[in-house]
Amino acid sequence: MSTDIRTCWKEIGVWGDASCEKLEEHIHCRNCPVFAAAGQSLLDRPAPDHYLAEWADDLARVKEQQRTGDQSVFVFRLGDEYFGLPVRRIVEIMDPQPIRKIPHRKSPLLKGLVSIRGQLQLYISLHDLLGVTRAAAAAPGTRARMCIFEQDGQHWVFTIDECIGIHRYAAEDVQPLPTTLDKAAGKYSEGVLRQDDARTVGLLDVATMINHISKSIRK
Amino acid sequence: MLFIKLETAGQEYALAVRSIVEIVPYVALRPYADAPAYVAGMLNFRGRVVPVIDLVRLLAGRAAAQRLSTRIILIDYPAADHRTYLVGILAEAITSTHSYENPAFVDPGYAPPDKPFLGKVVCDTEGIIQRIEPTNLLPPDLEAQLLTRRDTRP
Repeated sequence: MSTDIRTCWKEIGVWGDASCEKLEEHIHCRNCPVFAAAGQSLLDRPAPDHYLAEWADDLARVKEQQRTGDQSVFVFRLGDEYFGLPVRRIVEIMDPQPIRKIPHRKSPLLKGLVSIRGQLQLYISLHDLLGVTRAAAAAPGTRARMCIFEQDGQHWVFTIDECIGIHRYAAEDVQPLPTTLDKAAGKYSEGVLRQDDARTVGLLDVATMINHISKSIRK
Repeated sequence: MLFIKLETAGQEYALAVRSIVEIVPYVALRPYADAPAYVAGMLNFRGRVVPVIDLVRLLAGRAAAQRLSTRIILIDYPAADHRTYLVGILAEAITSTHSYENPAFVDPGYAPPDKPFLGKVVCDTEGIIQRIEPTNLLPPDLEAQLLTRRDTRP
């Protein structure tokens, strides 16, 4: 079949002596409609037998419903527990910065201020809010990070014990909270997500959490 | 609007991509016994039995050639009972898509009564291209037999 195709690009085109007058317009043979038509003519060949048989098998098979994760969550570790925050709320993750204590303030949650590129941001303790004890000894190879989180234009900074990463999930993958859960973490979670490695991630309810922090700070 | 171009008997046709579900190669079909020649057969599409209409037979009066560019276009066919059914259209030389503006299409002036699926035409650098309206592919009695009256429960 290939003998039917005039391979002009090898004779007068860029792979030949480049004497084709169309080169002035198209610069390279791959932009030329003659070259494109020759490529498309390859599809005029008869289909190989095994190709069609393979396709017939493939079409007959029921397509596995692919679970498309349309939501993404930033997963991190606090103590021994894993939590998730919506990715779009995360502003930045950075190395820990010095925390400046605010004089004459003893809020259990508001621990001080952190300077982020010259801007003072409120630093809160997510460990205390969620009732998680800090891991006694950090596992080797993991490092604590500071995470900046945004809600209604207000930035909040908190420390996490480890960044796990961004996890995509579908809304139907979220499971309800166990009814036996009575810790503070349950109060601020809207569901749990079981990851492939059997890790359970608590999805934090941002609105309730921030509402509580704001109230606690105003006291 | 985006169209896929197809060519039969030297003439080019365009089919709007909006209603297309999937385009698959021309695999072996199980023929319907005693059906009109333009009903190419049944396709096992993901466990569903989908009737395939031979557009080449309708337009050129011959069977579609077994080429790599001969394909089955699966469309959502809006039937008379206001539901959509999966229908395959067998056509040749499906290798490219093209975008045409909707107002560029004009009435060709003559509508063959036995080919109500032929729509408006548009002028292109390669000639005049006619739109295929897949909604009118099946005559009412065949549509009822193949689609609406069929019990699709296994």
